[in-house]
Amino acid sequence: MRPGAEAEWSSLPGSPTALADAADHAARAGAHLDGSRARLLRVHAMLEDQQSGAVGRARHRITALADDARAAGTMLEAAAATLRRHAATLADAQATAHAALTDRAEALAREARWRAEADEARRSTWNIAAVVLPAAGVLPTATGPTSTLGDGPEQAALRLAAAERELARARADVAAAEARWRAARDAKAESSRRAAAALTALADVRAVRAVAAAGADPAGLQASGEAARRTLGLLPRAASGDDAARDDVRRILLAHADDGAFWAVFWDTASPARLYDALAPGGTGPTGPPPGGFGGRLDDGGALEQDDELARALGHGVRLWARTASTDDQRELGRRIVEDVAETAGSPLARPGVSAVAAALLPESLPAAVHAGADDALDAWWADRPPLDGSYAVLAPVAVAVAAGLAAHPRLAFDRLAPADQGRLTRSTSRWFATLPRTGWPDGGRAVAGAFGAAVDVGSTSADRTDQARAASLVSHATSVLPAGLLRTPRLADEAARSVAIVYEPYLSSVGDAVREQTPSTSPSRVEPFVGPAVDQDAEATPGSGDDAPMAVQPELDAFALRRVIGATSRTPGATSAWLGVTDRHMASVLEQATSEHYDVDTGPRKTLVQDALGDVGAVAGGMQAETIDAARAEMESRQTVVDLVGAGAGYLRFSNKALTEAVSHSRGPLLSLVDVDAPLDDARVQVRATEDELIDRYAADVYHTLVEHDRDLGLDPAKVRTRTKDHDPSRNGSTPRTLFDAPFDQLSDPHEEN
Amino acid sequence: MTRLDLDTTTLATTGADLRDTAASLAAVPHGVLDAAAAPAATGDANLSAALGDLASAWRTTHEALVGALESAGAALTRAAEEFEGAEHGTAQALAALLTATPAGGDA
Repeated sequence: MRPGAEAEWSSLPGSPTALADAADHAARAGAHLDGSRARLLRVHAMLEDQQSGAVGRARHRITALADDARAAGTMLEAAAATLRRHAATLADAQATAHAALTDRAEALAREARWRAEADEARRSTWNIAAVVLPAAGVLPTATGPTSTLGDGPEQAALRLAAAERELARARADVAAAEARWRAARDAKAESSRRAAAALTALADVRAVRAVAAAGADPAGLQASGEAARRTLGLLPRAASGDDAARDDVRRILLAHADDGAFWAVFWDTASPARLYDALAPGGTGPTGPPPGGFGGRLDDGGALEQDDELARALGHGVRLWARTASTDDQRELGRRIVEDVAETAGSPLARPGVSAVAAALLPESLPAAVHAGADDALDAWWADRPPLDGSYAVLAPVAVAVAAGLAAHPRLAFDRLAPADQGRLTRSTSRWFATLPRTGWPDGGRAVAGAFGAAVDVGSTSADRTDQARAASLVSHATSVLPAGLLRTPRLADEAARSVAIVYEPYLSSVGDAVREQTPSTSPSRVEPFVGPAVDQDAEATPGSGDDAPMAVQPELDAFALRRVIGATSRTPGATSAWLGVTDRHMASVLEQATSEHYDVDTGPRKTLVQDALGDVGAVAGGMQAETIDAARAEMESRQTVVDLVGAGAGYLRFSNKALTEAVSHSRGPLLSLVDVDAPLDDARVQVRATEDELIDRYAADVYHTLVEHDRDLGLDPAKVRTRTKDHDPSRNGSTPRTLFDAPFDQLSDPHEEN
Repeated sequence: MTRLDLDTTTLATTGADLRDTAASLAAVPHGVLDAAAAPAATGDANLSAALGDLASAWRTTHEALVGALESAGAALTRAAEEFEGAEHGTAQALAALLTATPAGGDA
C-alpha cells in the first residue's frame, strides 16, 4: 500500500487499538529492561571488592551490558511513545474521516433529490401554458421539494430556483465533507510519515545508545539522524567542488559537534575518504599539508584556510561516536582514518590539507583501540615505503596524531614501541626515532618524544623484569639512533627534550657506566667498543640497601650516541632544567640511601655509592655542554677554512698557526680576531670549565656537607667524622670527588680534548 | 604477582543473579512490535516497513542481551567454582604440609 493511497471516500485503514497495544507491550519491555539494568548495576556493585583480572573483566562486561540494557530500554520507551502518539492521531483521523463520509453520503443523497427536483421544475416551465401564481408564503423548503406550489409558469420558475439553490447547498456540503476527509487522510499520512521517521531513527541502535549514554531526549534522535543523512548527501557535492555544499557540510558539522546521535549515524555510513574529499577537495597542490592546518573553505587562491573550530568538532565527533562503538569498530575506524590518507600520500593526487583532516580525526583523548588501529595502518604504510619517500612529510601530521595517541595510552605505547620481539623493536625504533620527515616533526617532536617517555615509563616501573628488559632494550636501541632522527628536528620543542631527558632517569647509573667503559684509560688509548643495543639483566641489588630490591633492568648505552642525545636535548634553559632535575633527583635519592642506617657502620659501600653517583652526574653534566664545544669546534674549523682559502687565493698570505697565534696575541682588532682560529674553542672551554666548577659545587659539595652533617648527627666525634668523610671533600683541586666528576664530564663535553 | 581477593560466595550469587536476569529478560516477548508492523495495524506501508526494521533491531538486541547475560552469569559461576576448588585444594595442601612429619624426623 502506498502512503496516502487510500481509496477515495473510504474509511482510513489502520488499527489504533493494535498500535496502542504494541505501545503498551513495548513500554512494559522497556520497563523490564530498566529493571534488568538496575539488577546489573547491583551485581556490579557486589563485585566492587573482588580483585582478580577475570572479575575485573566481568565487571567491565557488566557495565557494557547495563549500557546496552539502558539503550534498548530507551529505544522501546521512545517507540512506545511514538506509537501512542500515532495511534491517537490515527484514531482522530479515522473518526473525522468516518464523520466526513457520513456527511458526504447524506449530502450526496440531497444533491440527487434536488437535482431531480430541478430537472422536474425545468421540464414544468417548458410545458406550462398558463401562469398560475403560487399562494403567498408557500415556498420550497430545505428538506425537499414541495408540491404546494402551483403549476403556473411563475411557480415553476420559483420551484426551479429553489431546487437549484438547494442543489448548490447539497453540492457544497459534499465538497466540505470531502475536504474534511482529505484533511483527515493527510493528517494520518503526515503522522505516519513522522512516526516512520522516528522509528527508523530508533532502529539505529548505536544512535540510541549515544542518546541514552548522554541521558538526552530520544525525541531529538530523528532530527539528528536526518541532519547526519543530509550531511552524507552533501559530501559528494562538496567533493565535486560545490563551495555552497562544502559550507553547508561545515555548518552542519559544527552545529552538531556535541550531538552524539548525529555522529553515530554519520560514522555508520561515512568513510574518512569521503570526508577528506569533501573538506579538502581537488587540486594537485604541494605534497605537504598547508602550514597550520586545513579548512573547509577555499579562498580565491585555492589555499586552505586554517579551521581549528572544525578540527575540534571533528575530533569531538569521533570521541562521541567511539563511546557507543565496539572496540573492533573503533580499531577499524582508526585504521581507515590513516589508510584513506596514506593511499594517496605519495602520489601527485595528494591533496593539501587531507593529512590535517585525518589528524583532526585522531585526538589523543580517543580510546586506545582507535589509536591502535591507526598505528596498525601507519605501520603497514611504513613497511611498504622507502624511508626517504616524500610522502612521509605529507603524513607527518597523522604520524604526530598517532604518536600523541600512543603517549596518551602508555600501555599501548609500551606494546608498540617496546615489543618483546627484537625484529619488531628494530623496525619500530627505526620508524619512530631514526627517521625524520623532510621538514621535521611539525610539533617539534613533542608527540614522538612523549610516546617514547610513556613507553619507557611503563616498562621501567613494572615489577615484571621482562617488561623492564623491554623498556631497557628500547632505550638502548633508541639512544643509538635518536641523534640522527627525532633529535634532528629543527627547533626541537623543550617539551620533547624534557620527555627524552626523563627517559634516562631510571638508567642514570648506566650513563656513568657507559662513559667509564668507553673512556680511553690506557696507553695507547683503548676504548671498550659499544657492541650494540642490549640490556644488562644482571643489575644487582644496591649493596647494603637492606631491602635487597634489585635495580631495574638497565640498558647498554653507547656513550658517544648518549653524548649527542644529551647535547641535543640541552639547547635551551627550559630543556637543560629537565636534565638538571634528573641529576638532582638522582643525587637526592643516592644521598637518602647513603645516610640510611645500612651505610652507617661500614663507610666503604657508602663511598662507592656516592662516588659512582658523582660520575653519573658528571657524565650527564658533561653531555649538556657537548653542543657548546661542538659548535665552537665547527666555527673553529670554518675559520681555518677561511684562513686557508684567503692564503691560497692571495698567494702571498700564508700564516702558520703559530704565526697566527702570535699575531692574534698582539691584536685586539676585529680583522685579526677573525683569523684567531682557536678562539671559539678556547672561549667555549672557558665557559664549560666555569659550568663544570659550578656543577661540582652543586653536587660534590652538597654530598660532602650532607655526609658530614649526618655523621655528626650520629654523635661521632669530630675526628671520626673527618676520617669518615675526608674522601668526599671536594675543596682541593685533584680531590677524589672532583676527579670522579671531572673525568666523565670531560669525556662527554669534549672527548677530543687532550686531557 | 597478580593480587587475588575473592569471595567465592559473592561470585556464585552474582553469577546466579545474572542468569536470573537473563531468564527474566528472555521471558519478555521479543515480538512485541511485530503485530503492530502489519499493514492492517499501521495502515501505511512506510510505517510498516519502519516498524518492521525496529522490530528486527529489537529482536537482535534482545537475543544478544539475553545471550550475553547468560554467558556472563555462567562465567561468574564457573569462576566461583574454580576458585572454590582451588581454595579447597590449597587448604588441603596447606593442611598436609602443616601436619606432615619432617623427613628423617622422629615419628
